[in-house]
Amino acid sequence: MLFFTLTKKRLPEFLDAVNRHYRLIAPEQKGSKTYTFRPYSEFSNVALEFLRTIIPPRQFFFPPVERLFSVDKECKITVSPEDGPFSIIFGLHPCDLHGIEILDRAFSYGSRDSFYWRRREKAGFIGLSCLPDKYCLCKSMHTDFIESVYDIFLYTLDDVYMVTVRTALGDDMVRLCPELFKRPSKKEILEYKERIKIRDSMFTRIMDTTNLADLLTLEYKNDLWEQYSQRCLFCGSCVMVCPTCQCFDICDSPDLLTGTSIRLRKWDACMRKDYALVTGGHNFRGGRPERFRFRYLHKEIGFAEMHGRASCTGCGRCSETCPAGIDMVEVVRSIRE
Amino acid sequence: MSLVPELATLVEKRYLDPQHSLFRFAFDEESVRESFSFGPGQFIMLSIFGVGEAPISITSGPDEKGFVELCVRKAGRVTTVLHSLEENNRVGIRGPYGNGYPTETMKGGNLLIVAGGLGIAPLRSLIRYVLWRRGSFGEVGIVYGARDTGSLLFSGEMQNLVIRTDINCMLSVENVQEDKTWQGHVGWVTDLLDKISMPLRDTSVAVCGPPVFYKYVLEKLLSLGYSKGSIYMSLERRMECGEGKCGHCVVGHKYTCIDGPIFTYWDAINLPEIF
Repeated sequence: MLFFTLTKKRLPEFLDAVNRHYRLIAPEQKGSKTYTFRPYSEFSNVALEFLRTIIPPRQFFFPPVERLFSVDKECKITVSPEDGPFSIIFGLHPCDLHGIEILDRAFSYGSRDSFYWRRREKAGFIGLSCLPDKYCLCKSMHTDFIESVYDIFLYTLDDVYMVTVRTALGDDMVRLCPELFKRPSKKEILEYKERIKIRDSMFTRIMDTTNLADLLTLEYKNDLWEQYSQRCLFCGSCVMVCPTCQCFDICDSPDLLTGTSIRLRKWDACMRKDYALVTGGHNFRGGRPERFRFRYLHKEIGFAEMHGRASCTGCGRCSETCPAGIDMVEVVRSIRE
Repeated sequence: MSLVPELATLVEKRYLDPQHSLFRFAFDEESVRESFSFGPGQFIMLSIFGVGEAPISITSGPDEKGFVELCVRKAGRVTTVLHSLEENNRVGIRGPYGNGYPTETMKGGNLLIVAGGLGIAPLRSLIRYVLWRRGSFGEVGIVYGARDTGSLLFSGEMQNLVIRTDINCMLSVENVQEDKTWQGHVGWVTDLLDKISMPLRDTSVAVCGPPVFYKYVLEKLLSLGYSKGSIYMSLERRMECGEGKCGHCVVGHKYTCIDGPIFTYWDAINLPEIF
């Protein structure tokens, strides 16, 4: 681990240099309040003061629709070629870096998912600090800091970024323009420590996660699930924007003219009505309350039992996106009370 | 590579009844044909290209090399097309997946196999495993029930087991219409569990059948005194990947495709949404 400072004004030079050597992806403003990751074009397009993109970074390793392979008339299988060159994603906040750490676990459970890992292994990350808004829950989910996954992390101070270089890849990037990086001064270190305290005091909403797994199990049959499921539209928006939702469907798309077909993998949502429907018509989780409850139980308990940590990163996307105004904090609070 | 199947050719299609056939597939690639191995109770993902994939349990025995047999009901999209395939047609197979029956735990003890309807499909693999090494097991009992004599799958093979003296095999059908030759039991599988005399101690019970069958068989087994920890059930769930990723087969906090499909009754009742 190496620490440097980078003058804010010189960030464009750094990103330009990274973009010359790798394929750089950076957040850009899309609508009046919406942001998205796009291939880096020029620094003026990069959004620095943003909290969350609509679609989380999982899109880069686990795209919404992905072609696994194609099959010709003689049934010869051709696996889809790998994507382009090594990518660096700039501007990931701690919650999204945690999201990637969680997906890494999910796509390694039992065996490594080749299609996920062949992209994931060709990506590097430049993290960026942020200040919470009313949806941010990272402090409650213990994801407000990140100690793994990233290669370089930029912590925003007044005039400079405090730069943490965690990996050799991060070091390679720094060495593209070493003149930009200075040793942090005592004053900058003090400022850094002060900023961490200030940020910590800015969280307005706290979700009490003490014994949450036990509580959710105890309240498995609580009427609240029924009540929330009446409000929920089952649109799946919360799933689409979630940085750690991993569900997918596998389906074939035939070309009747040529007799060939392609096999696709697409994002799926556990709240869809036929998610657990099997041939013959039996649905193992067809009811609305069961489908609503399952997502919470899986995020907070199921994943934790398999991987040792809950799979919510507290990024706030689901609460911000839900058209019915269902908010995880409210759900958890009502279950607790 | 994960999720990419191996090519296999349909080498034999055996008609069982209007809804069920037994399909024998051989992998095209010699190295796959030789290296493919599985345990009883495991399943594969069967691809019909352009149509899709379905999880199917393996019906042949693990000692039979060079091919896999799948006993399949014509029920959904993939299986309907499967039934229309002819010999030499090609499919994709990936796997094997799932934990399978704990044969190492079962060996040395007694084994009671309880099948209902198509539930015989994975259990036939276990039966073949036992026949191959009969001496490794104590007493072996098999009860198999079907709706009527016409839908009793593998009836010839099962009749051969009935006349064996080293295995106590009993068959039942719920109704006999014109079939006057039927010499087995008429009624429920649970009646056979009363009749068959299997020791309670050191006996593993492998059960597979439709949901309602489980309900009555499990009740009966418990009333007879079998331990919940020695009753093994095979769970059916929707599966897309078979590799513990896609989420569809999650029951409670377990992946049926990795942690199962074989669960002890004790483990299963501690999972919510089990039936």
